[in-house]
Parts: sequence; structure tokens; C-alpha cells
Amino acid sequence: MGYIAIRGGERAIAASESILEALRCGIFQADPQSEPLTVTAIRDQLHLLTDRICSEGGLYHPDLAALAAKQAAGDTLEASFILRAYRATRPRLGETTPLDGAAMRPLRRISAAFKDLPGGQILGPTTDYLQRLFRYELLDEDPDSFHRAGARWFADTPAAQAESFPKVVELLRAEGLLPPPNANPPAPVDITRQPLTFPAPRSAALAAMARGETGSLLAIAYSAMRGWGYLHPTVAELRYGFIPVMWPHPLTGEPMEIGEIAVTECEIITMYDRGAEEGARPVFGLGYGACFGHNEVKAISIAMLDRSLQNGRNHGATVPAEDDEFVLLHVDGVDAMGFCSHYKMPHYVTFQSDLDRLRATRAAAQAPQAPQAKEATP
Amino acid sequence: MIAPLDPGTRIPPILELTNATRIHGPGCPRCLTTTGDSHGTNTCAACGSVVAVAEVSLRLHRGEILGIMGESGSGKSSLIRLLHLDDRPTAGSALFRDHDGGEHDLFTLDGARARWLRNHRFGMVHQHPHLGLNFRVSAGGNIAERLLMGGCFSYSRIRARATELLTQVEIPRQRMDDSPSGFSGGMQQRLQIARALAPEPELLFLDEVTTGLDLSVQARILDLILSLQGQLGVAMIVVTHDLGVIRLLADRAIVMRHGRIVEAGITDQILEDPQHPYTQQLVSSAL
Amino acid sequence: MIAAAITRVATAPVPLLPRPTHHFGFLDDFAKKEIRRAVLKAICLPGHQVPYSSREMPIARGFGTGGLQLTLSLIGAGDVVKVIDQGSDESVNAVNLRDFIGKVAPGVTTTTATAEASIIQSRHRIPELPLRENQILILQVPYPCPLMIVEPSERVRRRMHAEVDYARLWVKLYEDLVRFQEISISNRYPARVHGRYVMDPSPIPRWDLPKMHQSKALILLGAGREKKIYAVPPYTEVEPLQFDDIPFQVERFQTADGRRIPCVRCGANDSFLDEIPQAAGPAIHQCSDLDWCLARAAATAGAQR
Repeated sequence: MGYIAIRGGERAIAASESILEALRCGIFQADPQSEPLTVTAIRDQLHLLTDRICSEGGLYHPDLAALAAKQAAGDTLEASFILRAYRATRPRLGETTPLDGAAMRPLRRISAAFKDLPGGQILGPTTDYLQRLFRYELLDEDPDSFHRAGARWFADTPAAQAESFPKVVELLRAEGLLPPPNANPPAPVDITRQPLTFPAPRSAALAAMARGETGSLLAIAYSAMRGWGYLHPTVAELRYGFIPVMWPHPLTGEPMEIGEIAVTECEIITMYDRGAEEGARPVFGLGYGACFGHNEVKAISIAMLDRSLQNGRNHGATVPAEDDEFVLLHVDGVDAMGFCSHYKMPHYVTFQSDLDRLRATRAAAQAPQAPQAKEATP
Repeated sequence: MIAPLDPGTRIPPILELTNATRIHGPGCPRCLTTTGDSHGTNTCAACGSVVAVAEVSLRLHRGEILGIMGESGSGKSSLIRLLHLDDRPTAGSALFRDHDGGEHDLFTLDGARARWLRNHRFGMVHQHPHLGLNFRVSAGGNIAERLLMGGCFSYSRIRARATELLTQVEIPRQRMDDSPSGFSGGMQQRLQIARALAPEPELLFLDEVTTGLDLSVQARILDLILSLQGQLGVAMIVVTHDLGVIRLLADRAIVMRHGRIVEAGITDQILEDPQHPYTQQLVSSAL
Repeated sequence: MIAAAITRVATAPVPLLPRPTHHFGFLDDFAKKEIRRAVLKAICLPGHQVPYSSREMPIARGFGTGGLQLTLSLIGAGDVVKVIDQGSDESVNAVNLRDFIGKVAPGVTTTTATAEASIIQSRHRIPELPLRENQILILQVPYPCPLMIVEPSERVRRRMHAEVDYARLWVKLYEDLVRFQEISISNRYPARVHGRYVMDPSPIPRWDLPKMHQSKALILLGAGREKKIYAVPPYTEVEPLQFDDIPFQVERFQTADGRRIPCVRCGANDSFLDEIPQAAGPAIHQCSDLDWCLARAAATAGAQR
């Protein structure tokens, strides 16, 4: 045999699929009692995972997100990709009116800016103040206590009173410490139908980040928090809860609630700086972030980056977090993961070309004349 | 080794440089012998290192202006970097004498003490304003930085001194709080001069400060430098490739080529009666 | 080939793991030793940031792991620990930390009374009650370096501290005065310690900075995520960076016509206040230091009887 076989690509893919499936079905574990994970169990018990996949997939569909998680054996990049690809060619029925964050039915609502505020600080479901120690009892979880936990919570919790939760930013606006919102905002850019161009309008930036990959957003936002583009931020308000989706009635045209989606929303306030207009009194800066499902790190990171990108727009980008190209082009998990993975594809033709260049250049270079002496000491 | 006192003066020089050498690269015993005027190159034939400055010695007296004349590759800018403590030499020593009698062995200073000297005793004006000015800060802020590092922490005094300096360099005081990015090239250079003079330094380095500016702007800056020198009596080292600048400003001059001094002496003498062929060439080709 | 690789992997069902026992104070001796040595070095070089290999804790980074590691390395049986956040013992974060400390350090008692504590771990406040020589104040630090507002690179900042090069920080103050006639740094106001290093005092308000000057208590500052420890030894000079002719100002709590707003609970007009917006009408103000406020309110009530 004097040559390398060049056929068999289809056979290789089929074999790969079959081992992938065998691994997905838990070939490692020898426990014959083990059952396939149900999509419901993933959706409900790993709800933060499915929320993340909805958010990065750009489609609010917890069931499909759970299926994607199961299919991808827990890989969030892969799962988001499956959901995003599904979404890409769905027919568009129409557009809702902008969802109103103030209409949220919150499970959690906190402000770092004030000790207390109208509506109160509602801690809600958060791990922030838990000690991250292993709960070993979960290794062999008692099904009864599992089922009772939910029922007990409902039984123990008093009926909710309708509370009003005025937004902290409105408080600050009333005192003139924040500029008023834009009276005539431009139409939001649909980044799924229009290419992203730079400088990117704010709505395009927010949309791109809303379906951005959590780790990427966090990394760049973290750089901004640490001094690459000094922000000095305070979380004015963070909310997690359900926002009604309003749709015009087909006959009357009246907006009607057709359902609700879980959203995490964050507003940050940053210290004034010399970017404020000449002559005018200084005001705080505002950053806004929101995403599907419960993902506070992502919502806060988006808010930080929103502010940082606005700073970049106003006085020129001096650091990566202020540069809209740097941020928006590198936070999409589907794009980034795809391109990263593509390096595993055969590149031997391009590499052959590289080999040729190096060999030719080495042949053309002179050999050194004399042995290298030691570096002279000062 | 420090050269003995010039017998013609009783006041010791403010700066004495002895055998300063700066080699970029691994270096070898043949670096100095295979480079220089007779070899016509800075590059060592044996090891490929670049000999930027080779065994340069000079003296500067208090209140004197020394011109360093040379074309690109002569080593003049490398020499200034060594003297301003922006770079470390491969060999050589330098002594700076303070007005209060203190002596500083320049090439052995640690970072903090080098910084102190640069903040209190030296001033530097670069060819490119981007090297010498902070564009993220106002014109007044650029001057304030030097004053603060020189130990002045009175806001009103800083404002007054900055105003005084801007007036001295003929920048309108209304521009004090503006960013230098809005200034013309000539005004940026004048701001650099103001900044350099802020802590009343004893030694000012001027590195190609008029190169690239319009002739009329150049003339104005050179007049300014002369007038400031007359008022303040600060010693200066002026680096340039322009004979006209040397003629106008420098009392004494050295001519550098391939990292060496090829000619040195009183400016008038060098320009009237150059000895070295290279200097002769420069003088005859000057307009 | 692949099948062989797979069968080598463990095939037993998930075992019931033995529960690990924790050391006193959760941290192992190696970690404690390193932290104590860092503390001693920090005390010898007031205001200088000493790097250390900060351990991950069951409390998240950003929630006080630096302060916590200091507390856990220093406490022993008999210590009395107070934990506050924003001045309050009742704040969720303080409650969580205090609970954890109590759990992992048997023999250590916890308290809300500043006067009774031997160690006080605090986020963003120094207690109003002046501290004593036998007390240690531990401050939680998010950003250990005052130069972070002018320089993002750690490498460059280290050199700046070494060369006493605080020029860019001073210029920022100058530019603020030119632009706003006021310095815009609010909390984390940079201060020179023992005439040498400029330190970030942690996000305490300007109000609290004077308490660090010639403090009788040792003050330790711990940044867990940024992995630095620094210290202000007792009776040390701590001076906010200020121009000779523009005095350093603390926060004001004044009505529009310049009257000092008193605490709505205890009536104090000499403490740092929390501003609490109301659904209708103006905000109310009460002391941020809960222990101080309750003690004042009790004293006032007692005096009135």
C-alpha cells in the first residue's frame, strides 16, 4: 500500500454519530436502573440551564431549549446553536409592541442604590447569600421531600398583595439626576433581518447582547468593571419575573395579553464624568440590560456594556469594552463557537501552501557568519 | 571615571558624561571596533548588534546651551534618552550637579530617584507632541502634572503658575482648560515647553523641537527658547539635524555620526572652520 | 480502540462520599499561615498591597471573601465577632457571613454591639463608635488600588507605587476641580498612609476616612478576588489627597436651605445617614450604623424617663 485512502467520509460520520449517541445514552455508567432524562425534568429541575439556552438561542421556548440541552448532552453552546438554527427560518407572524418592564410580575426585585424603596426589596430566589457548600443529601434525593418542597412553599407563602414597584430610575429622573428618556426613539433595528453595521445603533447593540453568550459578555463586562474603561456603577434595580406579551386583537386592534415570558432586567447607574455636556449640569449615566429567563449575571453584564458602549460612542473608545465592534462581534456564541471549531476541519491545502513559503524563505536566507557572543553587561 | 575640572572655570559643570555607550543586541568584543566613522556603519560586523552610542563624553556648564548635531542614525536621540534617564546605557557614567551642591550618579539611580530627578531638575521637549503631552488632560492639566510632581499642592498656586507659564510661551490663557488636541502644532510645542519649564528645572532637553513645523512657526519657537534662556539661565541640550538651529541657539556644539562625536567645539568655530570632512559637508550643504 | 478507552473508566454507581470535616475557621493551616504572614508584612509597610493566593470560599467573590479570609485566619476561641454591611448587622450579606463564621469557628461568639467586639468585619462603613486598641477592624475591598481609575494595568500600577508616581491621580483631581469645581471621587477616596503609599480605603464614604487617621484599632483591608491584603497600623497618619487650599469635604445631609437632617429614629445629627425614598413625599433619613442608632435611641428614651 503506497498511498493514503481518500474515501470513507460518510462511514466516518456515521461511526461518529453512533459513538456520540452511545455516549449521550450514558455508556460510561453501568447502572442498568438508569432511565433516559426526561425533557420535563431538564426544563424544570435544570431551569437555569434551559433559561440560558433560550436566552442565547434567541427564542423563548423552554421545552425546545430543554430538548436542545438533552440532545447536546449539556453543552450550552451546542444547545443554543440548535435552538438558534431552528428559529432562523420560522415564519414571522408579526411584532409585539415593546414590552413594558414596569408591568413585570416580579419574583425578585432589588436595588443596590437604596436601603429600601417603595415596593420594598424582594430578595426572591437567589444564591447570592447562600454558602456554596455541597448538599450531599442530594446524592440520594428523597422523592417525597422533593415533591413536598414545592407544595410546602406555596402553602407557607401568604397570598401576594398587589404591590406597585415604581422604577428607581424614575425616582432619579424626577430629581433631574438622570436625563429623561428619548421622546422620539428611532425604530428598533432587527438584527436578524438587517446586517450589523458600525457605529451600531443602541437598539442593535442591545439586541445583539440579549442573545450573546453569557461567559463572553461577562468577561468583557468584567474588564470594564475592573478598570479597562472605568465605570463606577451601581445597580439601580434588578428584577426577575414575568412580563406580559401584548398582541393587538385581530378584530378590535386592542392590545391583549397573549401570554407572559420570564425576563431578567437590570438598570445600572454610573457616576457622572467629563463626558457630560459643556455648561450643562452633570447627570448620572444609565445602562440597561435584559434577557430571557433568569440570568442575572448576563443582564448585569449587558447593562454594564450598554453604558460602556455609550461612553465609547460619546467620547471615542479607549478600551475594548467601549468599542462596539470589539464587543458586539465577539459575544455571539454561535458565531464564535462555530469559527473556533472550524479550525478542526482539514486545512492541509492551506498548510501545504504555508510549508512551501517557509521552506522557500529559509532557503533564501543567509546563514549566520560567526558564533553569537554573550550579551555585553552594562 | 569623571574627567577633571576644566581649568578654565571654577564652577564645576552641571553635567559630566563619560564614555557613554549604548548597544542594542547581544553585543560582542568587536562591536566598538567594527563600527563608527571609519567603518561607516552602526552595525557590528561580528554579531549584528546596533551601536547607537559609542564612548561619548561631554560636559555641560550651568546656563549653557549645548547643541548636538547629527543626521538620523547619528545617535543623538539615543544619547538624549540616556541623559534623560529614559534608557539605560550599556557602559559609561554620568554625573549631574544640583544647584544645592548635591551630586547624582545618574546611571546608578533607581526608578524612584530617577523619577524625582526628572520631576524636579530636568525638563524634556519632544519632537512629537504625543510623546510629551497627555491629550486626555487639559493644557493646564499637563502643566499641573509637572507642578504636582514637583511638590506643589496648592490649587491656586498651580493655576497661577500655569497661567504664568502659558503667558511666557505665548499661549492665550483662555485656552488653559482646553485639550491640547485642538492646538496647532506650534502651540503644542509651546505647551510642551511650558510643561518642561514648570518645576524650574536646571537642565532642559530639546529633541528636534522645531522639526516638521512651518518656518515662521519654527522661528517663533526658537526666539522663545532664546528669550526664556536669557530670563531663566537654564542649561539646555538641543538636539537637531538643522544647522540653522545650532547657529542660533548653541554656544557649543558636538557633531555626531554613527554613534560617535566626530567634532566638538564652540559653535562659531565649527561653522566657520569645520575640521572633520562630515562636518564640512554639512556646513557646505546648508542653505 | 475507543471502546477499550471507555471501559477503563469507573463503572460503579455514584458513591456516597464521606462528609469532609472542616478545620477550625474553615481554612487549612497552610492558608492561614500565608494570610498571617501577609498581614504582618502589610503592617510593616503601611498602605502597601501585599499579594497572596486567595482561596475560593463558599461565599462568592465580590461578597467579602477577602475580609472573610482575614477574619478566619485571625479568630480564635474567645474572640467576639461583629459583621456589618453598609453599617447594618441585619443586612443579608452580613447575616450570611456572620452565620458562616459562627458555624465554622466553635468557641467564637458573635455580636451586634460594636463595643463588645474584638474583631469587626465590615463592608463599606467604619462604625461611628470610636474603636479601641484591642479591636481589629477588617474591611472588605473590591478594588485594592487607588490608581485603577487612571491605569488599568496591574503591572504599570505596581511600578507607579514603587516610584511614588501618583501624578496621574493628582491630575485627575485637578481636572475635576477645573471642570466641576468639586472633586468627583465619592467613596474610595484615595489617602496617603504614613506619608508613603497612597491607598484605596475601600468603598467607605468620605465621612469615614477621618476615622482611619491615628486610629487606635488596627485596620486590615482584604481583597479576595483581587488577591491583596493591606493594612493601616494603629496610630498611623492617614491623609486624604487634597490640595493645600481646597479642604477635603465629607458628605452633607442637608435640606435645601442648609439645615442638617437628623436621623428619624434616634435624632442624631452627627452620623452618616441612609436616604430612603418614600412612595409619597420626601425621603426619610436614618443612621446607617444600626448599632449606634439603636444605642442612641435607647439612651434618648432612657434620658427622657
